[in-house]
Amino acid sequence: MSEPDSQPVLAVEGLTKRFGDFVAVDDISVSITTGQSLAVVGESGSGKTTVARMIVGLERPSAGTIAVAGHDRSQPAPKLKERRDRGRQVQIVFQDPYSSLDPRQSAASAIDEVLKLRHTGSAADRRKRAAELGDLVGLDDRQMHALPRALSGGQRQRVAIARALAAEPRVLILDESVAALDVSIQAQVLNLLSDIRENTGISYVLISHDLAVVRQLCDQIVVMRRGTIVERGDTPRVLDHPEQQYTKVLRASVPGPGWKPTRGLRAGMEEEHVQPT
Amino acid sequence: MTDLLSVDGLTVRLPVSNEMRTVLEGVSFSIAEGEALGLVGESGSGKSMTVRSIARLLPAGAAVDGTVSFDGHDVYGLRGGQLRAYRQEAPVVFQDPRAHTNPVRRIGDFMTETLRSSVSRAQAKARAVAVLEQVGIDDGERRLRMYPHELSGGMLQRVMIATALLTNPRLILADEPTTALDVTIQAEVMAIIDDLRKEFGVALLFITHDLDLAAAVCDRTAVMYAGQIVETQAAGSLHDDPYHPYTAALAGARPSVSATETRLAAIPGRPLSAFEAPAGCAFAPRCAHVQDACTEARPPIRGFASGTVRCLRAEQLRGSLRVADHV
Repeated sequence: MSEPDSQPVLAVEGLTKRFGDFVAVDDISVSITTGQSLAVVGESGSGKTTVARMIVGLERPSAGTIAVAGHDRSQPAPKLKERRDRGRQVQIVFQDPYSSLDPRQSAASAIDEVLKLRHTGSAADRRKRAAELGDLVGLDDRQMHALPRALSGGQRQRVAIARALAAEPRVLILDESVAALDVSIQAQVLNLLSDIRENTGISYVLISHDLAVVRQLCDQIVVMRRGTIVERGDTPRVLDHPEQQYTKVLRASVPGPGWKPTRGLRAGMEEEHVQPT
Repeated sequence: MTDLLSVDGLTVRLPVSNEMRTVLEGVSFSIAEGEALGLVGESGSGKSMTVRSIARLLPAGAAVDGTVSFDGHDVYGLRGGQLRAYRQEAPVVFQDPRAHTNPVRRIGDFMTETLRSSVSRAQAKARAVAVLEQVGIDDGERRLRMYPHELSGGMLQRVMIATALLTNPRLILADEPTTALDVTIQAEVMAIIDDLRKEFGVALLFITHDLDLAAAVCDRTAVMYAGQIVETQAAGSLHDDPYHPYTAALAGARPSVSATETRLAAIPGRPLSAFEAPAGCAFAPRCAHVQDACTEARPPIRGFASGTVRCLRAEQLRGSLRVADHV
């Protein structure tokens, strides 16, 4: 990628989303540079998915700015061209591979549709590119031409990733993208995502509640609770030496060898004063 | 200890598009009074079907071979009142509490429904308030008047557990009771289940896809793959001394929260359903240790070390399967 590492590929400033009186996301700021991978972690209702939806343009922020490679995208695009340009900058892979694909469209056709929008090359060029993307995510020719119902969950998620990558986005939003997959398949997809980042220099924003998945895929973490960021930092630091009480409770709740469930972990959480960072 | 539940050679086939598909094949295990057994596996491995078979909740048209006996009685021979009594002694806690409550009935109606045939309304209510307190829900009187939508997922799951306790069960069948919950609430709910089990000596069949979670609350763990049990052993040693290559592979594929792996040890291919399993060992197509003999005939489940295993090479492989330590 062309830019120096110092310029953020994604810069979010003072992002806020209100639904009526309820503040779902309260004045958060994050930025990532090219090739970085950021995790947004938190429990249900923390606002992490709302952040993802605002970055990708599915939800309009109440306040704040979102810039990708210096272009603001916090307000709706006035023109079709602008909208398509934005689609090229940020793509998203959703959680549920069973509901995020068109049941009547094969992977090859879904990818071709994206390539067509980019006006690059002839039908033959596009076919070649679609096959390359299929290779990249590990789908064979038969699977590329099969309808989603003939594919397993892991294969469908590969289709969703290939389709997102067809736009050659600068930033890929992974909204719980491996949460619904079986452990053995999840490992395949996590390895694939690591390879793609290494080979293309793409940036990830992973929305997740699973700290082990975050540890595997991301260099940076922000921990969200009730719409605000309560802690942020390098992944190993946040997970091995959490500073905030909430992060400590999250970390202590993850089962591992020798782990025992304990009652009342959450009890201390409610009174504590959370200092936004 | 005597066996409270004993499942022997359970094979279940279900009608799917004009053919009978095998979903469970030769599943055998037992649970002693007060014992907790974890049943671990990926989707389609048959863990939920095992629970449904035990609770007699299989869909119409299911063909069941083998036996399930509870406290010495054949579960498939129970009729009417006996079956109702059995289901009170061995209640099921499902994964999604919202799908298993009636949204237009109050929590109190739901909880006391099974008691109303035997005790008065006031007594039933008092019992419900008491069990709610045991699962950490105060203010039970008010909760009983609420509707399911007024409670959070974690709270509603605790109501489900309380309801299961209401009839003084001897065995709780818990089908991924915490999978839909946030991790901090999962820790809370698991701790509640663990405490109650120890306090009242209730046996537990705990279904999960999480080996570590099973190890934390169970005495023994059975691992399922393609409708079969491939290994059973003490929960504590499953991670350090796996008997079956699948168990080791499953533990190795999971990322660790305490260390970043250069590459995860992914298992090639995808999990198979029972009806897709090849003639030999069901795991053979994905196994790193496969030999010709593995693909020739289905290995029987047999006693091994302090448990059971369904692998021809278990003796040769033991020790070398140890999951790499996460530092």
